[in-house]
Amino acid sequence: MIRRISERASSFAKNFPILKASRFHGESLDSSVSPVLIPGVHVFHCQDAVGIVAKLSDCIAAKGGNILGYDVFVPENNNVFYSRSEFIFDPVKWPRNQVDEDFQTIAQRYGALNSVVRVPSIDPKYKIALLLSKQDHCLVEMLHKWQDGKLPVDITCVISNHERASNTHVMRFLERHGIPYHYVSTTKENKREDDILELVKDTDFLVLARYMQILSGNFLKGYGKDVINIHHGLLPSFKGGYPAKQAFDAGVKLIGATSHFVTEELDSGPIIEQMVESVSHRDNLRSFVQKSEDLEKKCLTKAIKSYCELRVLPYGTNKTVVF
Amino acid sequence: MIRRVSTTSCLSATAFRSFTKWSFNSSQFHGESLDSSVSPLLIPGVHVFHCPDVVGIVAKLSDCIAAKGGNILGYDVFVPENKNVFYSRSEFIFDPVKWPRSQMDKDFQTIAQKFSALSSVVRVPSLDPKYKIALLLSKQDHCLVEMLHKWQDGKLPVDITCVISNHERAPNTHIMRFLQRHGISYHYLPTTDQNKIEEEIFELVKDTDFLVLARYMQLLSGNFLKGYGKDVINIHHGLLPSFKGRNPVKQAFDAGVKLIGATTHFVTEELDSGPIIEQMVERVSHRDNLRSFVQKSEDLEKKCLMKAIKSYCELRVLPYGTQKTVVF
Repeated sequence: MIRRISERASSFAKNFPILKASRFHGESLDSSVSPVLIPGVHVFHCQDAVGIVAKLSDCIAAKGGNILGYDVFVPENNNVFYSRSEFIFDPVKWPRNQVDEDFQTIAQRYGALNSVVRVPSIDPKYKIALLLSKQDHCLVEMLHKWQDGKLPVDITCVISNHERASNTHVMRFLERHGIPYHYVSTTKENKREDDILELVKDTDFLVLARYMQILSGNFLKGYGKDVINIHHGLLPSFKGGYPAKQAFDAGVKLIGATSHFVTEELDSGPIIEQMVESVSHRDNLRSFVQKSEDLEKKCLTKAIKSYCELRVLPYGTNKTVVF
Repeated sequence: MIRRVSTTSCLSATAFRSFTKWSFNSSQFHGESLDSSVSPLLIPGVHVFHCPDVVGIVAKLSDCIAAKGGNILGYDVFVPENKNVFYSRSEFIFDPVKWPRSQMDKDFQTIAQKFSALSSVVRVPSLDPKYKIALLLSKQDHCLVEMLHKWQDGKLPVDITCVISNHERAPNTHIMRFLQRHGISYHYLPTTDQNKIEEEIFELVKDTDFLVLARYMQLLSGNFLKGYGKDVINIHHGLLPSFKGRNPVKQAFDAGVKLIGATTHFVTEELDSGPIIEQMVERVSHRDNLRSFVQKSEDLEKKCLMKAIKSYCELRVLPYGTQKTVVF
């Protein structure tokens, strides 16, 4: 999953003129000005062996980086290693493309399945497209969080199989912020996947924010990058349509929402995040739906935030590590 | 569901009369020794009511209590949208001298008839006999142990008539010694694919008020449930309707969920599908292995089952529609 992003990050690092800025910064330095330290995150996923943490931490320390947080996870009976480190470093001492090269060396040494570095203040934000159908509470939540700076992404476009009038809140918001809205109508016979692919092929990942059409295996292969979906039910309960009503009819005492990666099979990909809330006989369908919508918003936002912070890694065939 | 309990309560009402005579005598004695500065002994009562909705039910019920000097301390009313049914549960204190137990039954019964109640149950915990229950389990006994300890601590206000298991236990185990110490019989009834020995089980439990399946892994047939006729409560170690059937914890582990749960529900013919009483969850992550999934699940099962049984004994659980419950 995240392997796609590491390719993009390395191409960007070559082109970014941070070196020039650092030299200028270096030339004007007198000895009493402290260097500007910026945060970096590195995730690593490889076969387990002795010495990985030592090598990774030494790599950071050798360039003057200071590790502020470190998560390691090696599952029982499973010869894999996962780590996520948060560190601060001086980009003068450790230039961005050098960071990539140094970690790449270690990645090759250990035959890593995944090695991704992200320096949020330098690297370009993740480019995402948001897809939705009729219900737009999740989209609105994401747009507002994005506007507040709490969703560190670039929203390239919004795609929907539902038309929206130009004087609606969503449309005015998108217009104000220069985010194109593409109405791509779907039918049973034609899911317009080629058109969608054309619109999203340059994004880093997709977010289905209550997009009710199934994306085919062909589309997912063609797109090749991660697709995150919010399902308004506690998977694996209540897959498919109208899970809030399914839950209401089933008389459950807890309802939930699930964010997960999209696979060919409906509502079955690796789960990233789940949240619940209590319901009782006092809840009617309306309050079930309302509680569900509140959960969806929180659950989707949390999952995307985790994903952007490189906290989400594939684990086995159907699970995730979420640091 | 609770209609069975009400039938039982009616049956026990006959037993109550003998109880009431006893309390009446003591009250008389109590009354005769009274000087005006001794306040009457007030005892708690609970009444649940379930009938088609009309104007005036609460007025009638509350008046019934007040007229006999009872003081309502808590009152829950629930009338669902678009549904012509009425549910109420009242907690009150009263003087059994002024309002004798058998009279209380009659008074509420009058109102029940007036409103064609589907359910009208009164319970006076300090007078009425405790609910008689039988506990069934298979191999896993953490739920049983929890219930026995809570019962011993007085936190489970029931009479445990017996424990039934399709799994044999050696006499020097904690459970067996506990049961022996407290005079609770343990019946080992092995089941096979062909014979679920339901008749033997029925013989042992027919006089109980309800059954608790505390990790009993055999399916009780529709015949058994009809024959027994009273409520059966089960703990399922999964968040229904996810992970029905066997090994729900392993199912959850393999599914990569981030929340695991337990569900207490009424038993029906269909496996793990009866009306849900209570559900609880806990977070799990990649750091959990199957062992910790199981451990968290067991902790949840214990809490969830206890809470459901406590709610049931306090008359908080009522049937709602075909597949749901009201839990006050």
